[in-house]
Amino acid sequence: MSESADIDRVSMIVLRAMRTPLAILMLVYAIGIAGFVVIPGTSGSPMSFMHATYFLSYTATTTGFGEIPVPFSGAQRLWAIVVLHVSVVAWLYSVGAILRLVQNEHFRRALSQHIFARRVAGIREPFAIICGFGDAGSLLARGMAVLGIPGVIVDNDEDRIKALKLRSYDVPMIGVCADSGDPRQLLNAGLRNPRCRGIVAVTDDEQVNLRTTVMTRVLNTHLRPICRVDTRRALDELDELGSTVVLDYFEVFARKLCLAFNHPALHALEDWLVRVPGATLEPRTTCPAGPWILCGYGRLGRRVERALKELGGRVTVIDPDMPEEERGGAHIRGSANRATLRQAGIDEAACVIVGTDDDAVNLRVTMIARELNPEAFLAVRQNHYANETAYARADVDLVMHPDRILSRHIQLELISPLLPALLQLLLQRKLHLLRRMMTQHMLWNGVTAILQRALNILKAAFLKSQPRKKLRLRRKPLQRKKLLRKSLQ
Amino acid sequence: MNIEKTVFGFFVLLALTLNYSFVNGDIDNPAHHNVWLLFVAIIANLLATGLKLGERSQTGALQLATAFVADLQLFAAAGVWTIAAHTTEDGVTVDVLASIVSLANGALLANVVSVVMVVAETLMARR
Repeated sequence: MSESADIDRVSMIVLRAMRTPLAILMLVYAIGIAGFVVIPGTSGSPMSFMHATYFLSYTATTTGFGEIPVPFSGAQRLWAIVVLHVSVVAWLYSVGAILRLVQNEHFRRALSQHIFARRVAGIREPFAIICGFGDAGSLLARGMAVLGIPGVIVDNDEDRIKALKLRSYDVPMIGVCADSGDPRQLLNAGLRNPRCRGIVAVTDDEQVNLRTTVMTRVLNTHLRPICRVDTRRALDELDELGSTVVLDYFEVFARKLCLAFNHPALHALEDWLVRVPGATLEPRTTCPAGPWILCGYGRLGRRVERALKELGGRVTVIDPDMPEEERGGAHIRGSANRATLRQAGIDEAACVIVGTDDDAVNLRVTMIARELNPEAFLAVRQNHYANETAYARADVDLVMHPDRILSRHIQLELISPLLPALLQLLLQRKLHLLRRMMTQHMLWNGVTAILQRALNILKAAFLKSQPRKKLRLRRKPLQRKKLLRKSLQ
Repeated sequence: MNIEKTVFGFFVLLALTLNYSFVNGDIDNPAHHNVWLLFVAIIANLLATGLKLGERSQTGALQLATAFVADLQLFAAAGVWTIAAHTTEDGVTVDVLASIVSLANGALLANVVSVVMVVAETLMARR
């Protein structure tokens, strides 16, 4: 099926529906003209065809010049009464029907999809397809625009695509409102275009992401789709499929959190690689592996607890919906307020992680926790990008936005698929493997990407073009003197 | 019996027959070419064109093309007649009439093609 089949089909339907209005218009004109060519005027002879057509034209369109060239006879005026009423109604009906047809929803959607496909086919640089324009998708789009990669955005929500059109990017970001699991829409979005270098499925709905990934693997075997999943089952299913980058939303967050705690240098390197050209590599101080308090025990909380336990150290969890069977010393049931925080031992805690899925709750708990223990390391989860201004002013040490973390990880994958592997090897200190891979030229892409970043930084410093972006995951060195001293020991 | 096909065939054939009845006769004899026949021929052709809109098949596309050609030629004939009658001093002379009828002959050919296609399609469909 050709890509323009939809627009053809809908255009034909629209044209076919125009038949009746056009036929009525023609008949009314014909009978009116015929009448005037037959009915005698004041001089005894009727009007000619041309004059009859002239009269009908300015009558049907309600212009109404008058009785031209000579005043009408009585019989002509009688006929004119009929013609006046019928022709105006017929004209209004026909024009109205034709306009309604052109504004027909299906026609407009088919037309916009056709225009979208043409625009995508006209992209001249390597581009990536983003399915889902929520927080993760839009942050990813911003990151890609900074890297200079054009994007094709597919989202099922009309409002989000409208929001996309209101933003300005340096590279073309073409959006369409469509279901990304539909193979025809994926083909329209340029899935089989040789310039497409990647597709990212980051919608909120795991099923849609799965559908998109499977369709991509079938339609274009050269692409490795990047898919966000939320459940273990989906992760296993996609891992079995192979040749897919599967990112468990919560697992990525938990791993990143532990990286920030344990290997801040590596964390800083990873962030530096995906940020605006001109950003500097900022070193950070570690959070001591002391007792931790974790607020929020949903899907994210469980993964974080597991990851923190692997690092060693005691974790106390507070959650209002703690299930009965898990209640114990380290699991406190209740909302995170002063009483429960004191019960969890906030006075001795080195670090408090607030990770519920409600931004208001998170900010409230951070304020209380800061009051109870001003020296503790506060890490908080941000859920919606809309609350950015509140989190920017909050008195916390680390703000982690899962969507932003996901989008940064995906950016790494898009720059070079070997970069995450490189960072993983650095993390595991498998330097011998690293050496072997480099001699086999397998990591050449990763190294060139890093070199390219370095070059960009030099270029930006030379041109002084980019403003320094405020670091999102930030520390406040002036207030954390105690922690700094501890970590340097 | 399909009412839609009957109506379609009716109007296509009507366009052809009215066109033919206009052009039939000596090319330079005004008595043989009645202006009313040209008028109804134009109406019938426009209606036939309207019926051919919105066809997806290959034959449908060609039918629409022949209809547009016939309309164009007939409008040209009517235009020549109107301009000659209302703007020039001599009115519709024999030369002008010859041009008018020639243009209408052209439209006739387009209508013939259209009718041949309809007949062929009908005969092939029976098999």
